Amino acid sequence: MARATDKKYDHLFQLLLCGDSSVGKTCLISRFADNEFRHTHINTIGIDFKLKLFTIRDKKIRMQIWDTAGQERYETLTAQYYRKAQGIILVYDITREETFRNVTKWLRNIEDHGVKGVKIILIGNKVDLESERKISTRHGQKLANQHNIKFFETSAWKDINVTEAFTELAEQILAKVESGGGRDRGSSSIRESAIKLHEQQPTPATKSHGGCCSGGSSN
Amino acid sequence: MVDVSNSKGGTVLVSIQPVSSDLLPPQPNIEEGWDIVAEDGGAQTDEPTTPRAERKEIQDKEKEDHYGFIVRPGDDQLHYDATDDAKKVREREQKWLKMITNWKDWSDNKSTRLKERCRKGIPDSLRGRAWMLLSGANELMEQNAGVFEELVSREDNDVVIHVIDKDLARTFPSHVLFAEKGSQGQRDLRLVLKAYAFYNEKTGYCQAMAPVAATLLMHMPANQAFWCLVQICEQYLPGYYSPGLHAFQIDALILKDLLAKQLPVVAQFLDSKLPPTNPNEVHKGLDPVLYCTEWFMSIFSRSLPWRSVLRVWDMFFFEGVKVLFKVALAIMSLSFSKPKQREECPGFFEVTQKLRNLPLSVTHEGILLPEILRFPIHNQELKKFHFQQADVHFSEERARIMEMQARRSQARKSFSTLSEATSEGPD
Repeated sequence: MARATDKKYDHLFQLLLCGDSSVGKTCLISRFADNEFRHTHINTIGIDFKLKLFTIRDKKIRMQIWDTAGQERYETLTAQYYRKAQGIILVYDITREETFRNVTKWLRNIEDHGVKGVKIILIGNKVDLESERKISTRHGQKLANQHNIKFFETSAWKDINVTEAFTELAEQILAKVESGGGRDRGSSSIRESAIKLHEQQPTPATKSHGGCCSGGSSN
Repeated sequence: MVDVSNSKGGTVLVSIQPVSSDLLPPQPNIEEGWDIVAEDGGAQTDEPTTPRAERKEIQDKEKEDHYGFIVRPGDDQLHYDATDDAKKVREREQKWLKMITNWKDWSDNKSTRLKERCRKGIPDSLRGRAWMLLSGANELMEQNAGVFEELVSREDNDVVIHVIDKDLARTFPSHVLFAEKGSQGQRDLRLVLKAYAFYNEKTGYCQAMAPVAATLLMHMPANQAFWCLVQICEQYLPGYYSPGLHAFQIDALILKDLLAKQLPVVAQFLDSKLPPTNPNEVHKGLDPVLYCTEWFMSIFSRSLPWRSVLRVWDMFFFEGVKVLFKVALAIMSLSFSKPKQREECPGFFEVTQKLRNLPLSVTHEGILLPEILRFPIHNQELKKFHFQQADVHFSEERARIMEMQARRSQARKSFSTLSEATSEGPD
C-alpha cells in the first residue's frame, strides 16, 4: 500500500469542512474518505483531518480534508486552518432551520479567515430524513446562487451525492490550478509562496462575497 | 456501607473509544487508485466485508466490561485484558476507607502520602467518593445545598440546551449508561451540563465538557457530578472552556515549551513535520492544537484505554493541571524517543495519525504511568512558561492570566497539594 508521503500524486489540495455542530461534517468526510458511516460517533473536539487519494481527469489528487468542531468557540483554534484551505465545504442540516440561517455567518467566517478566491460549495445534508425536512431544495439553491457557489443536497448515511460534492470542489480547484491561478493565493502555487497567506486575508469589514468563486467558474 | 461489589478483581476488558454499532457494507469505490486512509485502520478493516449472519453473531458476542463499556471483538488496540490482584485491591480499599473517614487529617497533614496513593490508583469502589473529596466538590456541595436542584429546575435556554441535546448521543455511545437514547445516563448528563451552563453563564456549555461530565457520572450521582464539574471548570482548568478557550491555548503553547526543554530531540523531530503544503510559511513547528486539544480539554478521557484514563484522573484530582502536561510528555517520549519510531513516521500525516491512534505500547497503564512519573514539572516552571506565553501571544490578557494563576494556586491550597514532589510551595 502506498505510503502517505510518497509523492505519487500530481496535486495536493487542502479542503476544510465547516458548519454548525451536528450537521454531519465528520460523517461526510468518513463517507467520502473511508466509505463508511457510523450511527454512533462522537463529537469533534478541536480539529481533525483525513487524507484521500482521488483521481480526476487522470490527475492524481491527494486531498487533505480538515474537519472542524462546529461550536463557535472552537473557531479560535480552527481559524488558521481556513487560511490553508483551497476549498471549503459549508454544511447545514436540511432538518434544522438554524443551521441554514447560520450559513451566512459561516460565509462571513470564511471571508474573514479564508484565502481570497477560496472555492466554496454549499451542502444541505441529511436528505435521508426527508420527512423531517425544514429547508427546501429551492431555498438552499437560492442561497447558493446569491453567493455564486455550487449547491448539493447529500446524505452521508445513504451515500447520496457525497462523492459528487467533493468531486465538484476538487474540479473547481483543479481548474483554477491548471489555468495557472498563480495570482490567487491558495492555489497550486502554495508550493512556492504560502508565506504571506495570513498577512493578506481580507479585512473583516469587507462585505462582498464576489471573490468566493472567482466569477463563478465551476470547472 | 461501601459497595465493593465491582472490585473483586478478575479479568476485565477495557474500552476507550466508542465503536461503530452499524457499519454499512462497502460501496464500490470511486475511481481513485488507492486509499491511504485505510492504512492505519487495522482494527476494523475486516468489518465492512463481514456477511450479515456473521455480523449478527459478532453483535451477540458484545459484552459489557467491568467499567460498563460495550466491548466488541476486534479492537485489540482499544481494549485489553487486565487482572487485578483481589488481595491487593482489598488492602487498598481498606487504606482508602481509613483515609476517607479521617479526611481532614489526611488532607491537612499527610498530603505527600495522599499524593503517592493517588498515583498508585484509587480503588474502583471508592473512586467517586475520593474524587469528590480531593476536588473539594464535597465541601462545595454541602455549602450549596439545593443549588443544583434549583439550576436544573430552570426553564431551558433554547440555544444552549439545543447544543447539549445534540451531544448526548455523541458522548461515550459505547458505554451502557449513555448508549440508549433517553437513558438515565443521557438524562443525567443533560441535567449536569444544563446546570453548569446556568451556573456559569459566561462559560455556558463547551462541547468538551460532555465527556468530562460523563466520566464523572460513571462514578457518582448527578448532583455530585455537577459540583465536581464545577471544580474542574473553575478551579483545575479555569478558562479552558470559556468562549475564547484562552487558557487551553496558552497551555498548548506551554506544552511546546516543555517538550523543547524536556524532550529536545522529540520536539525537534515534531517541528520538522509540517503540514506539507506550507514549506515556506513562517511557522512555529507542528501546531500542538492538532494533537493536544482533545487530550487536554477532555482530560484524556477520549484518548486512552479506560484503565489509564482513571489512573490519570486519580492523579489529576490531586496534582491538578500539571498532570495533563506530564501525560502528554510521557506519550511523546514513548512514541518518538527511539530513532526507529521516528523513522516510522516520515511525514506530518504519520505523526499526527500516530498521536490520534495511540498504540497500547504507549497507552497501557503499566507502561504509561511509570513514564508519567519520569517528568517532574515544577509549579514555578509552569508559572514562568505561563507568563512567557501570555506575554508573547496574549499580552493583553495578562491580568486575566494572573487571576487564573491565583485561582489555581488557591485550588491547590484547598486541595491539600501543599507538598509537591519538587518540595516547592504552591505557586
